[in-house]
Amino acid sequence: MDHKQVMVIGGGIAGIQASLDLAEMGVEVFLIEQQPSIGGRMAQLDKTFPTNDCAMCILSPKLVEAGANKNIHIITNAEVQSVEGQAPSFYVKVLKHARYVDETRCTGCGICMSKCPVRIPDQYNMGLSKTKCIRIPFPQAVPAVPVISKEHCIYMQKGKCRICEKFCEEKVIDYEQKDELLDIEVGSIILAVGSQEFDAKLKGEYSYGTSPNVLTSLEFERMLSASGPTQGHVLRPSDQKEPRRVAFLQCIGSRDMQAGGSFCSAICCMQAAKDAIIMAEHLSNVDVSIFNMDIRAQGKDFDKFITRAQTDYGARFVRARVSSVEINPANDNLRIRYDPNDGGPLREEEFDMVVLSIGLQTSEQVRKLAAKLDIELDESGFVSGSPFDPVLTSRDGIFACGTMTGPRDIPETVMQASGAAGAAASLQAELPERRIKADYPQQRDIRGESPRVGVFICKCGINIASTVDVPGVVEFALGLPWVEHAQELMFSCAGDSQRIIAEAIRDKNLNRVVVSACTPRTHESLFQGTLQSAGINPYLFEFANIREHCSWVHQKEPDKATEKAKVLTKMAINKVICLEPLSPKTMPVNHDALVVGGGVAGLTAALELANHGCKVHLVERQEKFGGNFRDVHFTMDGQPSQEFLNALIEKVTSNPNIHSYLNSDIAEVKGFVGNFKSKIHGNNNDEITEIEHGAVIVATGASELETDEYLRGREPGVVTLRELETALAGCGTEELKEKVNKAQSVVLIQCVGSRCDERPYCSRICCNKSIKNALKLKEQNPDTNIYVLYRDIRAYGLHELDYRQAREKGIIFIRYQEDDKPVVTSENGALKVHIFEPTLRRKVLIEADLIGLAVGIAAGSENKVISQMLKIPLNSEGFFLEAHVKLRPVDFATDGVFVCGLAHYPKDVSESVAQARAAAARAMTVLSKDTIEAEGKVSQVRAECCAACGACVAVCPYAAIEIDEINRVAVVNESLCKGCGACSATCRSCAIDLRGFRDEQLVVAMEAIVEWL
Amino acid sequence: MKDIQEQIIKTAAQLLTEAKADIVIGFSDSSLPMRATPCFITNADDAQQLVWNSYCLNNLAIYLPECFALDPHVKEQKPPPKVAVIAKGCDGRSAVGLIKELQVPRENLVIIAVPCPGMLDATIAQRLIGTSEIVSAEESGDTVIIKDQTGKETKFDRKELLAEACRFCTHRAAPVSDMTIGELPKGGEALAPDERFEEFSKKSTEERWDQFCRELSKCILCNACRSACPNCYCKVCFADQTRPNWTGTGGPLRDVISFHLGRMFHQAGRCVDCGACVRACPMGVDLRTFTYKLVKDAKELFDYTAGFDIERVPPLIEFNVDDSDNFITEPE
Amino acid sequence: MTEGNNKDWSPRIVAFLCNWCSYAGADLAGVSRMQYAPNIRIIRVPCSGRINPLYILSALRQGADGVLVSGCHPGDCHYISGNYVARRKFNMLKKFLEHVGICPERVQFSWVSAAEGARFAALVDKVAEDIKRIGPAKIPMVPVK
Ligand code: SF4
Ligand code: SF4
Ligand code: SF4
Ligand code: FES
Repeated sequence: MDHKQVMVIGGGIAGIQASLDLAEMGVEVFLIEQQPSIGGRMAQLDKTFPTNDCAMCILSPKLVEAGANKNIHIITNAEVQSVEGQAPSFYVKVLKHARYVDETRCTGCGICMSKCPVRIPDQYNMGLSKTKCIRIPFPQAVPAVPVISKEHCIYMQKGKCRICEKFCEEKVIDYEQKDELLDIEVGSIILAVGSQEFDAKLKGEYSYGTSPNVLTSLEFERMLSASGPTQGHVLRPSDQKEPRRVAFLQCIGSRDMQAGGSFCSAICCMQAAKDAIIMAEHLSNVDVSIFNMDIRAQGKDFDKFITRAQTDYGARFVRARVSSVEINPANDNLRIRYDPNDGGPLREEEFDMVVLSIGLQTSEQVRKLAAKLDIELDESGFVSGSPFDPVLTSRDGIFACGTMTGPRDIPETVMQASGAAGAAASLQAELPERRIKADYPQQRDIRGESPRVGVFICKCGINIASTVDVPGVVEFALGLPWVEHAQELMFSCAGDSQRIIAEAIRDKNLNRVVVSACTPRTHESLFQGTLQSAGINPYLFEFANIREHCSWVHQKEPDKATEKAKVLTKMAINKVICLEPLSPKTMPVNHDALVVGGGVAGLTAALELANHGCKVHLVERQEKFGGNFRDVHFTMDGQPSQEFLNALIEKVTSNPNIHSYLNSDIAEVKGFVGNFKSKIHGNNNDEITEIEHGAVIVATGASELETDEYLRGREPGVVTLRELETALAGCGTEELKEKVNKAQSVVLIQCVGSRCDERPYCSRICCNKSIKNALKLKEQNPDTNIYVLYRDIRAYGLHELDYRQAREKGIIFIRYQEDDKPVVTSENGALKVHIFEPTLRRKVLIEADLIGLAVGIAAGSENKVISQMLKIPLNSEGFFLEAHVKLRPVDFATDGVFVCGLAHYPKDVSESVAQARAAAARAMTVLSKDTIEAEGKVSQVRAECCAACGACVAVCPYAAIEIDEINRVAVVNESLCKGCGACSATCRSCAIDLRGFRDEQLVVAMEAIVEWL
Repeated sequence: MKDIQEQIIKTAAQLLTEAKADIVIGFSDSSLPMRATPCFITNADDAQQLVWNSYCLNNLAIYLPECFALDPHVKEQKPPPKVAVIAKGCDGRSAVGLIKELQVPRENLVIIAVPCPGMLDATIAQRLIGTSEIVSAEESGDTVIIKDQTGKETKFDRKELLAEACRFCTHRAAPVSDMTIGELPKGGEALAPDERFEEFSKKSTEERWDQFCRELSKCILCNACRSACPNCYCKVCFADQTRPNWTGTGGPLRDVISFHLGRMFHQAGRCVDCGACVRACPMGVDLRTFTYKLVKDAKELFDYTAGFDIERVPPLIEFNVDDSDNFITEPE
Repeated sequence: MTEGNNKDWSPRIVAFLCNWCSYAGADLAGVSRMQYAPNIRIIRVPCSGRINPLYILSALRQGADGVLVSGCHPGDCHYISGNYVARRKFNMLKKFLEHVGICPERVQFSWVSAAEGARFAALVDKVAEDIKRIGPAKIPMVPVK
């Protein structure tokens, strides 16, 4: 291999994220996807919790980006056959199944799909609607190339039809196409094949499959989606009426020993709450009940989301496992029976519709792949490498991410994906990068030329031409000022059309081009490339969308459509005349990094960056590295954990690439992505070190809350979990050790200082920490009675297995309500806990020798200072607020600054490590480059108009503008500007304008509309 | 008011002598009856010129941005001057707005808050008197006796002569100040109900549009309103730009309308309702009936009153995720 | 300028759509072959936050019969906060224009996501209907004096 190469197996959000990060790091990527399009499960979701972001809105730009990236080879409809060799050199055989369409030549016009006579169930809509036998899997699919389902094709089955072939203008249908075996050599491999949903049919008692009104959560998700089978209308399948009462049954195939998995699927509680909210927004009159065992809202802002579902949308959370769902034949309603857990008899309720929150499971694909790759799976079938480092697998050079490593939500998946990408790339740190620069001729200098516009009107086969009078539009265009050339094209995106356009540019000396065809969102970059190949600046191009916005939506009004196509074309011509050549600014990048915070997250990030070959400045406020993890003594299965930390510290301190600054703080950060200048202040010697660096990783951690609740601080028998753990590990004071050893009755109280008004969030790790310590106590002294007093046990994901084990070992879990907390009293040092026992329905008293408090995690107080220094925001609880909760979980809006670990939100060590790896990888997407290129369409200030009022500064989401106090003028930092235009729309004197979307350019486009024809 | 004037003179002289201010902006006597002229005192000896009476109507904040503007003709800029301003409620509110919009450095501005009784508007008096020119006015308590050319004396209640902005003003003291003179009036009730605006608001859409057009068809595009507004400090007004041309040639009424809608909307969340534009207009265009909508909505939608709180970010350059969506069209 | 009750009159509607959601929603309406009124002319802008209120005034001045503005749903903006800032401007502008007597139907704002092709089609139909009902723009051409 002569450069870095990685194979990513699985093209869901994890695989896509990993591929994009790798490509940015200069790695050539082979992205293998089993389905005919990338996108995975996320492409089917309606909205995403806890922000209710539209899933497709945030995913589809990533699909397009992956499709357009020259470093990524997307190989769909394909599977891995075998892997030979070892790190860093693997030989992979990939079987690419025939799709019966020539992918390289198909324009994705979709004619075949409209003509195909065979209708088959649409898997994208979970079979709730029909699609064609030859089909593009979903509108935003990448590649946007159809595939024929061989078993449904009447020609391939019965030898007659060939209709699609007949209508295909490009002649790319190939019924004879064979499967292809590809040999690919790569340095490392990332597995990202995801998971599968539990098959609800296996739980016959819930009437799934027998009643049409029992849906799975994924089917329901499609129903909610505006692009789904019912266009987002929630309708009961049996009678197409709006349901009045809907029940969600949680944990179907999760936390279940009989069917599915005994672990928790980690996402279903939130998904149900989300669906409840969306449904309540669609239907004003719906009652939603969510039957659950615990509400597991362990993530950032999850609890607030649940509260909103309850208070603002009236969702009812019922704590019960439903035993059966029966059909009421009279009205097709569903009768559900459940144990209300209050000591009373079984209860029955009737609903119009039932949604089964089906769990995630490992898939057959995972098992097969693991066998082929010789990768170990855990008892539940998930990939398990190391308890501390979830992206590792049992085989060197092969990494895993996403739900194949255990149930997890999208942000965690994305973090792991970036982390795996970083790990896969750093393994090949020695190899050169692959950065493709297209070889374009020198751009012609068009200054002083008057506009010479070329206009190309696409027929798109018959997609446009059957509605719009294309020759008429051409003629119209020819009559407009500055138009030198106009013609029609059969498929403007086809290869020969590109040649025609380039020739016209050269022959007629055109300096501006308009293409009236489909949508710029997918095709703009293609034509920009064509301009460049003809020596014209790519920004002298404008698109008119006469297909999606015209011929397709006015099929019955050809005259009006033609008239509209003319106006749209004229708008583009008006605009293109005003366009100017742009050249995105490039900036040099300093390859060093600054990591703030030397806990596990900071150490991991620093080490990973160093492995990539970067120089790292690692700053820790305390005297020692290790942070909070210094007080973690053993893992869930009782193994000592300090060895992990010590080894990590050793690797960091002995790494020549890492400069450690203990006892130090950041005094100042100036500059921006690629070009930071900072000062590190040594707290012992007051010395200032000045450094230059290209990126910053914030890993400042968080701290355990101080509390005086439950007699903490007054009674020596009331300790924190941290103290308990220290004692259990044989460290800490003798007094406490003895207390722990002798204790006959131990009470652990959950949610101390968490999920309260002051801190309305879950500290995420305390339930598992209590379970871990309880198990350890039991192990050391099996006779000890242990009580865990909790509100919800948030043993999310695979932690559920430990929870089960704890219960099996006789640890007693008692639920309390927020408004009826346990009360701790002391009589001469004898501790008593009073609590209401819900199944006995009365207060009970527990005498305790020791009380362990699961105190929450509070954001670091220094976060404020850092947030101001780096211009990065905090959320209302004081944790850092990432750029996008779902898809940019370690980034900030401010480029070049990343976050990981507890500074972002409470999380356990393996999650911190994954996020630290992700932060390092995201930083490497900057640091690996010699220069970074800014956006072309960035804003620009006309100094003579600027009054330096600062309005633009206030609205810029990327902190890209500053006021130059000396010259009293706003200054744009082009490497930070993302071209949103908020500044320009806000400036009253139009002193700041957005290139490519200038006021003037938009106003002249508008003139074409209003002038009418 | 006389003793307030004395104190103003004393304070100004002192500020200038102690070099705590380089310029004091206040009012001096005018040659015309019932008027006072803005003046700029740079010398302690000239402080005597300062007056304080019922005619100190102008919004003095209009002069502040100029005081701190860079000199385009020199390379080495002089350090910014220290400016003191005699501030009624409206001057004070405008000053706060200008500070927030970085046109005036807070540390270089001395706001001298003075109590404003509500100022009297000579134009209103003239209108009431009729064609005969006013020669003098005498004020005692709540009565004003006006003598005209013909020697006739007419008695008015002070309220009748109040400038329009002053009738509706609910906060007649500068909200932020460095020194105060006299006892500042508390905020609260306006001196008169705002009937005209209320009435207009109640009309039908067509009637409103007709009235709007009728008002604006009086406009001669002299730009006096823009020149009088302390918020119109832009170096180049959008209306004077050519690429693109936002307001046409100014010929057809629609061009005039687009200028005014643009200018007025630029006051959204910023207008302090000082009335300067209305008073400046030679054609008597009733601008306030329209601009006040913006004042009202800023309050109703964002609980924001311009010029009050120096810490608060103006409403149109910030947001709240829970802001109202009530203007959004729901297709179904 | 179209004045009065011209029989052939059909409204001219200028639409500003943000690139990332609403424009994509309009694309989806197309891909799904949803049919809607042909009166709309779409101008693509990066973000609803890019829309200067002056664009809307300018469209009205030039005689557009209607203006439609649409961006991502609040919270979904590709540029984090573009539509939040825009929302405040739009809200005030809408109420202001209404105050001076411009029919509320004339200038409308909405949110359309990339998945809401049907919503987009319904929105265009609604706006076109509204404007047909209230008739052509009435911004007077009369010269001053
Ligand atoms: S908003 Fe306009 S005038 Fe104000 S600082 Fe920015 S560019 Fe200058
Ligand atoms: S275009 Fe957007 S990102 Fe660029 S400077 Fe203006 S507000 Fe900031
Ligand atoms: S001062 Fe009056 S006439 Fe002059 S531009 Fe303003 S409104 Fe028009
Ligand atoms: S990108 Fe759609 S509103 Fe900002």
